[in-house]
Amino acid sequence: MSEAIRLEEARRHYAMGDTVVRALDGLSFSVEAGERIAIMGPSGSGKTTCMHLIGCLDRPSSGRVLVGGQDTAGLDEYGLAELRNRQVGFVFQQFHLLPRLTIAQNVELPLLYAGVRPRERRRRALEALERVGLADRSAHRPGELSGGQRQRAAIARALVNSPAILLADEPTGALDSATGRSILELFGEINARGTTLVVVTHDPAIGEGFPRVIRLRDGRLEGGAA
Amino acid sequence: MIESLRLAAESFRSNKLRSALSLVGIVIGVASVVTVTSIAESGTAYLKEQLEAFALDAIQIYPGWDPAGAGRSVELDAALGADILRKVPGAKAVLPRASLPGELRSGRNSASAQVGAVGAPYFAAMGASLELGRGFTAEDEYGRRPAIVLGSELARELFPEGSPVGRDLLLRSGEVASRFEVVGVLAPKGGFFMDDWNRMAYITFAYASERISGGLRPEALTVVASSREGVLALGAALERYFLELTGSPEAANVITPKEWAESDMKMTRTISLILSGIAAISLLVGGIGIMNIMLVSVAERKREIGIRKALGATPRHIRSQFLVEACLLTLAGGGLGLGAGFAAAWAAVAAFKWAFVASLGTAALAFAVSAATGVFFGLYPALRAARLDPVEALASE
Ligand SMILES: Nc1ncnc2c1ncn2[C@@H]1O[C@H](COP(=O)(O)OP(=O)(O)OP(=O)(O)O)[C@@H](O)[C@H]1O
Ligand SMILES: [Mg+2]
Repeated sequence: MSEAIRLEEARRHYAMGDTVVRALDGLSFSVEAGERIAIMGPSGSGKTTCMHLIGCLDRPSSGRVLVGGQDTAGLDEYGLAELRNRQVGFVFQQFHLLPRLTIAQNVELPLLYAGVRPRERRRRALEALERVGLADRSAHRPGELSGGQRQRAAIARALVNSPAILLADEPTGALDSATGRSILELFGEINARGTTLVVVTHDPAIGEGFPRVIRLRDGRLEGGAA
Repeated sequence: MIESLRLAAESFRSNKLRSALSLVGIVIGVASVVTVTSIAESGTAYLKEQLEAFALDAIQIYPGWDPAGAGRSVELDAALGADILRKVPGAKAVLPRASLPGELRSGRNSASAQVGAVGAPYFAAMGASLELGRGFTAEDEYGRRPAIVLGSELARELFPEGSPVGRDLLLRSGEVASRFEVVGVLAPKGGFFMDDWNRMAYITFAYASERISGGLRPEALTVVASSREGVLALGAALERYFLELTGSPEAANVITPKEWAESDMKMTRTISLILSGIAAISLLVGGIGIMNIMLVSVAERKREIGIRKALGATPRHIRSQFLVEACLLTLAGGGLGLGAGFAAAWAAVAAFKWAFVASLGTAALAFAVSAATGVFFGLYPALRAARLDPVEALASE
């Protein structure tokens, strides 16, 4: 199997006045295509920072990050945007749907930025909503949906471009446990169809459901093993 | 593109008042631009019409005023006319012109009108043509015949049915009432400064001064040039003649056709200059308003920008989203400004008694100006939005 994600000695440092915050401090691991992993660790250990690097929203201060075999260091903003658009789907704890757009319009956004024509966009958005069981809500605004439904809409949006990697940062953090479980089931189905899945979570019960868990502490792998 | 338009419309709906306020400057600016160009266009059309209406080989002489010494203004009498003909090269004829208020009556119809008292060749000299009948002849003038020529509107009022030519009417001016025979009706013609051809009646100066108003003095002299090409030289010669005669350049007003029309245009040039100033200032103020509202909008929508970037929007996508928004705002202002500008120009043009010209070019200019203002003042906020760091933008509230 090919490699979906690879971090080599990735560091992300923030200069805060005269101190340096080492959000990531030499992190190395790799994820095979189609794998399903959880990233765990205490608050401030660098989980979100790590997701940002994998999702091409940010670049390492030093070290290398490869997404789909592509080194993000060599890319400009346009190259990063394209990599985000084609390779990665994001699911956030706070859903991050745009409140003024309908659910269908929200789901269409990645296709819009990929340059897909409106008719085709609409068709694929409805297809993605169908997959998450929200086809009947396509004309609603996010404010009219429950938390679980919003997260499903966000997942549809992350999937609509058929990305190789799905990244979810505490996707169940804002949901009750039953709703959270149904979201995780949905992730399981998506992964079963071949999408690489990386989920950040605090919840050990959720972590147990994953075949592989990466534990972070102070910006490094806990215990040093991958 | 359509997506950006829809997005922009959405964002205005949620900020109605603020958007409306920021538009005021643009509206005033574009309205000024539209007013200036409309007045200029209407004025140019008017000038052209005037030059066509004006006999190109006639020069008008009005009494001047001399602030240095009273009584030095020239007397525009028959003796002066004769002297001009004798001494000024290039003058073919000198025609007196005066006007009297008059009451005209034909059967049950009556009208009041200015009555022009003119020399016999006046219509030919002024390039006015007859619709019906004839103008004055030398016989009318020397025979002191009670002949009258009517403007087209006046003719219709006094003689609603049939041709007035050959019919009689009663003219009362002051104490005197006399019977006249209508010999001709003028073809409709654009207004000639203070004269309204269509609403005036004309009789011969000779008749008026002898039979109606004893010792009637010409208010102006019309000097006809021997040739059209010689009209400017004649104007200069007349200036010299009056300077020699009176020693003052102010003693008489010698007005050649072009000058006549252009003196009217000077006023519009001043108005245009003032309005251009207003336009520039309002567009600047309006543009800064737009820049401000767009900066606020970018700051408020940081998270939206972060989300869009996370979904694959490039800096170019974000930049054009905000540019389109700024342009839509200014275009909305431009649309209102176009309407307001046309209205203002229409009112101004009506006050000058010109025909209003609303051109497509002016509308295009209004939209070009507003779009350009949007792009110019929206660019900085749009660039700021495009350059936002996605991680930082996502983290903001
Ligand atoms: N923009 C920034 N500037 C300075 N420090 C930052 C910045 N972003 C993150 N950090 C720091 O980097 C460290 C790692 O942050 P990160 O958000 O990755 O943690 P996390 O594991 O996701 O925590 P949590 O579980 O609370 O979400 C923290 O100490 C944080 O304060
Ligand atoms: Mg986090």
